[in-house]
Amino acid sequence: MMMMRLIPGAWGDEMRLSVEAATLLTPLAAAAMVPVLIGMAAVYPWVGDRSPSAFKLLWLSPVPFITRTLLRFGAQWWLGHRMRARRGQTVTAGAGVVLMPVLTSLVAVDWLMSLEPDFASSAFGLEFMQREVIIAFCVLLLLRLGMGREPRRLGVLGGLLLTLLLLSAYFLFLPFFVIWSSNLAPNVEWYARRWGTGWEAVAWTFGLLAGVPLLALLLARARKSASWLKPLSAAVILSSLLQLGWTVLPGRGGLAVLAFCASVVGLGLLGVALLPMALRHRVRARLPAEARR
Amino acid sequence: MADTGRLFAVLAAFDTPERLVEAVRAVRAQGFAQVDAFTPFPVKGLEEALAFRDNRVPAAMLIGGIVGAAGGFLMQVGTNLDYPLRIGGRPLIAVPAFMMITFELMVLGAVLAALAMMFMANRLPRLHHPVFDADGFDLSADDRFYLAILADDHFDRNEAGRALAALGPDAIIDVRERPRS
Amino acid sequence: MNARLNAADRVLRLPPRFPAPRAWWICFGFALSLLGLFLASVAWLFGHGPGIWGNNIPVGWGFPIANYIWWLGIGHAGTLISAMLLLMGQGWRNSLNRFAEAMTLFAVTCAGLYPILHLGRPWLFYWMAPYFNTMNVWPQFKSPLTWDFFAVLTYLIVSTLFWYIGIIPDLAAARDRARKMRWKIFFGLGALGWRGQATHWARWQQAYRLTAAIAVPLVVSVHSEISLLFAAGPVPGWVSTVFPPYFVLGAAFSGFAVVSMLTVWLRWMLGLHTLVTLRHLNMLGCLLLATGMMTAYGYAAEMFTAAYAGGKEAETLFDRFVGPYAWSYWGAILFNFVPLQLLWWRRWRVRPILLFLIGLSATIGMWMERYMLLVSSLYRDWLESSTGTFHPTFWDWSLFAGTIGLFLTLFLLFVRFLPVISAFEVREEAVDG
Repeated sequence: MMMMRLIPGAWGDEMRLSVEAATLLTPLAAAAMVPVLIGMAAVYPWVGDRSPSAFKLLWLSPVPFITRTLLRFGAQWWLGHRMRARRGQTVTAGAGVVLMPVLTSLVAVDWLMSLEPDFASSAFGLEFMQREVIIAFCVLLLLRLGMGREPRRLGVLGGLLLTLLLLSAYFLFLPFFVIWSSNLAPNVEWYARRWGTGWEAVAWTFGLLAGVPLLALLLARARKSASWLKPLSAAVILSSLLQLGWTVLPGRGGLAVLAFCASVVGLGLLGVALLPMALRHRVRARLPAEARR
Repeated sequence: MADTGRLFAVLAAFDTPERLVEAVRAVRAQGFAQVDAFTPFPVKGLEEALAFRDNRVPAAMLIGGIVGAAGGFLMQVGTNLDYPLRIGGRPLIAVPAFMMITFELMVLGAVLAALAMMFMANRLPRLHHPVFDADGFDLSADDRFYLAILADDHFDRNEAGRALAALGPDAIIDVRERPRS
Repeated sequence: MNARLNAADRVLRLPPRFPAPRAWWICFGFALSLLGLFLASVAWLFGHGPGIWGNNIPVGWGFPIANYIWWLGIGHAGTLISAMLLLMGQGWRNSLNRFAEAMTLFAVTCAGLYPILHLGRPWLFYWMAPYFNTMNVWPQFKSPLTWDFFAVLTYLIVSTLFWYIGIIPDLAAARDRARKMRWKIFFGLGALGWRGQATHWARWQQAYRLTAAIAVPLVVSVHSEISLLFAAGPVPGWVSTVFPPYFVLGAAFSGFAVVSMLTVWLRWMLGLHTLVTLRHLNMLGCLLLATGMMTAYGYAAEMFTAAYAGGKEAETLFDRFVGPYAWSYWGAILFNFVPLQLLWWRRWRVRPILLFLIGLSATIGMWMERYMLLVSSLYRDWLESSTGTFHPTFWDWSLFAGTIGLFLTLFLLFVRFLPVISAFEVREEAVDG
């Protein structure tokens, strides 16, 4: 969203309203975090643990954790609000592209990496952001294709999806490769758990679900046609969600898997229901101004 | 000297790219098949007007990429089998470690194949070409866009000349090949 | 539009009628003297071996590898400007891409020389290549050093070809523009008989755009691979998963810094104000700022993770802050990120002198960063026994200055004899409006 303002081009115009609508969903995402904050002790092994290093002890304790989470959502809402108002956008976007990656990386560490306190990967924030962006992009692409007229320059959006997929592959492979090469204990164990029974199949599935669209999008025809892009972006969403599960769940038992699936489906349905509403809301909000012109 | 050789083409010079594209469309509509153009820079819409359909370059790139990747990967597998180096507790065929060279050689194969195909399909490089003898042929000028009707076996100079003259070009030039001495 | 067409025409006439012979000769003389230093250093090295440098166990890499990475990083910006902005349809790149790509070639040349000179027996460098030999052995393909050989070689070949097919149409135009026979022959041979035929253009565009499309991932892969020279070894301060993207961005950052410097310099020396406008400087400033801030993210992520992971990683981090090489850490932060902040304001971005100075500062800062990453990790390993400091000698510095001379010499020859700006693309853009 912020990037769109800073990088001029055809793609911004095509997606603008959908993106603005999506920022309206920030409270929903924040609300989804509430149960996690309440049940923190059950979710994170570090709550109440006095053993780790001083830095970790300070960093991973409930109060800073909640503060960072609140900061992240607050910033997201505030930036979204400013962008929707379409005033001072360049400044807002400039602040946004600096603020959001930092805050998002911090919460990525908090929410997901700290599930296994011994694992430390400096690319984790980037991996997380990349996954967020690709999910968001695919959802919005589907929304855009599902509603209203066909975008005029679909090829650009297809090309963007291809770029995002290449980046995903990059961010998935290289951290693994660095850890595989150095072969140092806690980090390698993290991957070893994700390569055990069952999880290996999951890894292959999400690899295929993203790999096939990647190869398909190399064809210019696939990039330009809505009927190709729809199933491809759906596959990519599914793949990213599986990948998220693969990152979070191993070693946490069957109940966690069930809970994950249930919450993904629930939140997904809620999002699907609310996004078109939000879009219509945005369209209405913009109409008078455009009618006057 | 230029009058002695076999006729290669008849050129018509236009001063803007838009007029050139229109002229190409008009000439092709009259049934001339061997039409080409000479421009100092790529002109938008000219490919469509000439009905250019040649995907040999992308195809060569795809094949080159596949050959490069397969060659790169198999080279590493083959050499490891031929002279086993057991390093750092890795399996002998350590697929992640082979990915880098596979990727690089894929890129190299793809680029070399695409460029080689581009040169071959364009019949380049060459030292001389008949159009270089045409009066005023100058790729550094911004107001000379040439339409060419190439001569083939049943080529009628007068018919082509009339068709070109009807378009109102700035000049009409005959291009002849140099006689072989 | 007409002003731009005239300016494009002027670019084609630059080599035969060079506008600034005196400035050029002064620069060239300076470059040649540094090149002389380069030759002397290499001769001394061949005579006496790498012992003339400060490299020793445990810091076996020292200057050669730090400088190698630095040069290669600079090179990447040329490809990125040219290829990525071409694909994104950013027409303003046409005024910058040609000399940025030339910069790539010469920087990669300098980079490629370093590991070879570092070998100790440089004449055996071809042992890196897999070829059938009487010893019946093959290279060790699980080592980042072998990947490196392939990556840099591929990169050099691809960027040379990309630059060359880009310059062919301009050579043809310069051939037709030239009055004197020797220039006609010179450009004519280089143009390979290009005659601007429409079908040729169509195939040329296919090939050019596809090469650009594959060149971007190539750049990313090459510098990620360089980062693996570090990250793939179990050395504290090096095993950091953010290294690949962080190195790529740092490379782009240092490269854009050098492109900014070259732009300002060429614009002034050759009077290219109509083609390289304030808008270009503004965009360069933005690019520099963006890549710089992303590099800063890399610093932050690495620092945070080291502190978070604790143990030896945190010790190395702390040592970088206050240890004997702290000057390079704080120097990198200072030179890279402090002057950079001025670029948030458009007012500062369009000041050529200021842009030049910020570029210079970032170039120095990135050199310090490469140095810091290399030395501060190697000199104190996991084992107490393998510690030992590194001090560069005179020959370290002289070879470094010498490669700068090599770069400048090649670049000045390019400026003198070839079209420095992609004239046909500028004209295409001007006519399309």
